[in-house]
Amino acid sequence: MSALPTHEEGLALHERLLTDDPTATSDFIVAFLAPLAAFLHHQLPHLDPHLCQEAAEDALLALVKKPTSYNPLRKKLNGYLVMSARGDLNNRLRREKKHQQNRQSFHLVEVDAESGKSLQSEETPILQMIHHEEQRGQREFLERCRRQLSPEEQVCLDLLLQGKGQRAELVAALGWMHLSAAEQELQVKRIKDRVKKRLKRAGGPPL
Amino acid sequence: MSPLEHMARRVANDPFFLGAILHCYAESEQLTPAALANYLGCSVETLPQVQLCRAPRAEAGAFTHDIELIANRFHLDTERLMEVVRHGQALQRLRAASSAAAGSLLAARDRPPPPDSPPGETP
Repeated sequence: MSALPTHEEGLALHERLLTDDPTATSDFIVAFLAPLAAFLHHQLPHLDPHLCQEAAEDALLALVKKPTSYNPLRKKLNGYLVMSARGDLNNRLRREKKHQQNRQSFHLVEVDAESGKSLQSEETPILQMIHHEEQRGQREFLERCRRQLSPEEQVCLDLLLQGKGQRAELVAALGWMHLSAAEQELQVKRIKDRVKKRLKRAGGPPL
Repeated sequence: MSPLEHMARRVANDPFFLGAILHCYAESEQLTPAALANYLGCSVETLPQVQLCRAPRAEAGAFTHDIELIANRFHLDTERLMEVVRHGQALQRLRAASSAAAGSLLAARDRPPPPDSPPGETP
């Protein structure tokens, strides 16, 4: 995999985009396109490499057309481009998912009307990739949240994710059997509220 | 197809890029990418890099400056590049004008006749 330019190289290329030099766009794209696409594919090996290439193109096109959208004081250029490309990739996947679902539901209606057979929804490869990517995104999100939780809160989160958020289960897992029933109830409510609030603040779905 | 070729093709109709002007010219002259590269004086491998340059600015002084910068950077024939770009830009303007005219014609056709017009007569 060819390497992304260093931070200094990237900044020099970006500064040229802010000048009148018409060759700056070409040099910028030549330096970033292949390594950015390869980096995305390395991060998301289950995705079609063409999707990664097009997401890298989207990110570069946006930046070369509006170079002031990047502020070097706020983020490193490589990180900015990767973030932008991941955003474009997610948009593409969302559009593709909607398209595939529309096609799939149309197909299912057609099959149903013609044959009357029971309908078993089978995922197309692209839908499988999208679900894989969504699951991966959720895993990464939970992992990030988990790192900000205390050990007790992590146990609580695991139980909530498994659908085991009852007081008795939490009390047993957290070793609070010595507390009075009223105190157990209070502590369980507090820890559940804290975990839910942290997930919500981080932008996660309600548990 | 290399990633650069793919991206150069993608911007072939984007007026921000020189590639759109070169595309207009090549289409009108029925040139393949290899023939266009040969005419400009570069290899076909270098052509995508030329296509991904920003289109030269329109003002007279800036236009010449931009053309020279691009030609020097990729060792192109400056006179040829200038000729190709002027030709390509003229074609772009023609296309823009004809599509605008087609749009006006359609809009005029869709416009309802004035109340005192005889039936079947359009303004």
